[in-house]
Amino acid sequence: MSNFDSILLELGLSQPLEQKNGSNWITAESLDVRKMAGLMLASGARFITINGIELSESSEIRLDYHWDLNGELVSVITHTSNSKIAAITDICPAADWIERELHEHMAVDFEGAEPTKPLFLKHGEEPGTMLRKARAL
Amino acid sequence: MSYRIPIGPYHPGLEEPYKLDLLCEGETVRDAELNIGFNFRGVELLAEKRNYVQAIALMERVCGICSNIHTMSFCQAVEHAAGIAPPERALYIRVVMAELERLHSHVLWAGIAAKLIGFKTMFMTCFAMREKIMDTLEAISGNRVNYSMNRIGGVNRDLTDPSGVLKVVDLLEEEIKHTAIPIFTTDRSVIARCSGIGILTKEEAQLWGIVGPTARASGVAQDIRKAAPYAAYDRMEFDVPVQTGGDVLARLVVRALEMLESCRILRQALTQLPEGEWRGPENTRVPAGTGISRVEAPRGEVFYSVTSDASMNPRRVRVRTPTYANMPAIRLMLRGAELANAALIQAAIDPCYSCTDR
Repeated sequence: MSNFDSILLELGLSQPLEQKNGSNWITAESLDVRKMAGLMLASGARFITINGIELSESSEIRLDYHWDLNGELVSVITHTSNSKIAAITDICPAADWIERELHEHMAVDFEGAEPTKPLFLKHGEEPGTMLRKARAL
Repeated sequence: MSYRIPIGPYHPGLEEPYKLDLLCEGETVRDAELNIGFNFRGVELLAEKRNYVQAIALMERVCGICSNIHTMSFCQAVEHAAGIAPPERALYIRVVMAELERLHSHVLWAGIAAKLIGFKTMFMTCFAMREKIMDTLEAISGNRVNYSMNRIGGVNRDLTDPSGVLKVVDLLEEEIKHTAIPIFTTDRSVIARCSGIGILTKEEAQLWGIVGPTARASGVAQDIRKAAPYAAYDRMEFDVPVQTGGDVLARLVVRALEMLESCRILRQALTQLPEGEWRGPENTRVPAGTGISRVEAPRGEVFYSVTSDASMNPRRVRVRTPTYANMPAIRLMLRGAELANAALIQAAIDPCYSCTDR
């Protein structure tokens, strides 16, 4: 029984968490990330980070959302759609910098995010030049 | 009248380059803007260009203070992905290195805090104490900054003189008990300078995902060593100091008390050090998949995600450092603060910009 079970059920994710490689994994092809963020925070879970991984088989980015609840780690895997996904920063301020970083390094567009000054990009650099192979300088 | 004060990226009040723009009214800070990226080296991209062994040396250079934590986190993530269980002796040696590193980091920060408070004698006392810890780290690893201790599946060097390290721990514990703890918990000047400033509430700390001593000083009792033990921490008895004040003084007290807990952990790890192998396997093939590792660094949780596509190099390495999680909260701490306290408040999270920028 996981601390996250009820949250995942509310998100429509009925498959069991797969415990392997240091985390508890679940894949959600179509995920309401804003609903997830709201439910996680309401349950007292702590946002850790989002990891972006460029998929070799498509132009989309795999996004792993990592959350901690009383020491238990859950990693929710989802994907961008046309390099886009909803922003969660307005619900979960802890995601601010990582959403901005993923936009700058992997050209992920976080829909609904406020335009901000770059964190890492230098003047004139295009998003994705760091970690998107097709856009590398 | 509002005016903007730019501090940094290179400034005597900052330990490393970053830029803080303070929007002030009179002597009161109304808001702050943080600008990072001055230490950006593209470590995550560089890791994709190296094999797993070469990447360890790269990760050691993410941070100049908690270099050991980064190699340990990276190796643990690879071990999780590859299904490798390091030998028991190696796990204990990792605990010893991690706690010595925590001690040297906390003492370093205490010295810098003392300097910012205007307590130069305490600054010198802390740095003299730190020197003993660095000498010990050098005696164990042969190095004072980048220790090269961790390898995938074990450690590179054995700990050959645990009783010698134990003597240093006894000495340090006495110094911490008789200098650091009384000064940082009862000295009137320290209390007057640090009490009630840079407040971060428990609710704010939880919402902003704050980690480590900064979170524990705001009443959030989270410590990865307890909550999700790694290495040999599940065999160690120790307490997690928590304060509820949420101010600079609370952060000072949490770190001071944590130094004693580190001595307690070190004593257990050194006296219970099991016999046997410590190196682990010579060659490692990492199957396709993603390995996750979390470690309680001196500044809080370090998170590593290493993705393999079964080739020689990692496909993707993601590093989330504690300062990356904690730094945005500086803005909350500074709102309403007196301008003269800004340097001390931003330093109170023990920021590491090198880690943050990677």
